[in-house]
Amino acid sequence: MGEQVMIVAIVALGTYAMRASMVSILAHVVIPPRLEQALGLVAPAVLAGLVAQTLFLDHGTWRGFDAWYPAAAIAAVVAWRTRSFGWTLVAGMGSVWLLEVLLPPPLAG
Amino acid sequence: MEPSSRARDDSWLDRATILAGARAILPLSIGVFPFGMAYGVVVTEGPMNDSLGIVASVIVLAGAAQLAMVDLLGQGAPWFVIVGTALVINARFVMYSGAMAPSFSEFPRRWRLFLAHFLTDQATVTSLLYDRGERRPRRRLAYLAGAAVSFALAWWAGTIVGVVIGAAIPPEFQVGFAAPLMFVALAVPSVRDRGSLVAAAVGFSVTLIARDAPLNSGLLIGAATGIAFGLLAKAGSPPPDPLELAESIEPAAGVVPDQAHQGSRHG
Repeated sequence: MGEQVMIVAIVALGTYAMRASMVSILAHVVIPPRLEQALGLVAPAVLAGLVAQTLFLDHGTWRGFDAWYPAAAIAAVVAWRTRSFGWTLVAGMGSVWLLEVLLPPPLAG
Repeated sequence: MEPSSRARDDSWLDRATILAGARAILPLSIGVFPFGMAYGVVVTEGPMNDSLGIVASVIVLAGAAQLAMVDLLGQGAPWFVIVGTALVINARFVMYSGAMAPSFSEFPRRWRLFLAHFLTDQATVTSLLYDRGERRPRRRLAYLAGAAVSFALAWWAGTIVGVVIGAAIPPEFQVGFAAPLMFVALAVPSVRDRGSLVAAAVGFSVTLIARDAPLNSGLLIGAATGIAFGLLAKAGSPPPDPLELAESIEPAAGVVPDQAHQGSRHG
């Protein structure tokens, strides 16, 4: 618990420092274009990695195939077509529940 | 100081403009509420203390990083890997901070320090759109305060509701799926050109390849490799427009009202 508090505190301080960096502390510093490009790529690279980690892995080993995989694929298509967070959540959770009913027991989640 | 200075100071917060900001961001606040709920539910499923999960929503105020922290805690990752991963995810705020700097430079110092905390993806987009057509610093400040703080309130409310109901949801409801699902919902719209596609594909693959890397650092390795390859793929192209970028990170931002983009892709 003590360690969790420390982790959240450091992340909070670091995140605040980044948010405040240009608007107050370094108001006259211009971000180099190359760094700006790298910052722009953080979201797709990290988020795709997080999809990989949470969908396919469990404590560093492969999770077996289950209803999560097709449900995530359906959600990805809905996210691509609608770009709506709400519809993606509805489609994903709806699919995983439906698939769990439809798939034979060894495949259901 | 003149006795009138206090009254003049208060006029930084014009009520109608605050409400206009809150109203403009409302569709996004409504959208973030279920996201906050899902995060809250995920917190109750994992090893993170429930109250700390709520505190994180208040003081970190960044959904993707918070979810990643919960996931890594569950994997038993060491603290510095969790901190490093969360800070890498939040590095994009440096760019938003740069985009907002011209507006902030005319705000009083204490407002700069206060409002900096509330520069979420969504509040930044909403505010940048407004500031394009509004030059008066007072209006900009009030609008940002209304939008950014009301949006944060929705995120906090969602988190609290999620933590409260999370404990009551039975396992057959597949609550654990909420985490990968939310990352899918965030990742897909963040891909908007060749560079981001390469970054996402490499980040995804290398995270899986590096799954046995020591200290649960697979995600960090994957992300760093993805960014590097994305930069190579983008070499020569101009740097991104922060507004466009923030919009692609927050899918629902397509519904930002008022001065909405020409040819908004929201259906």
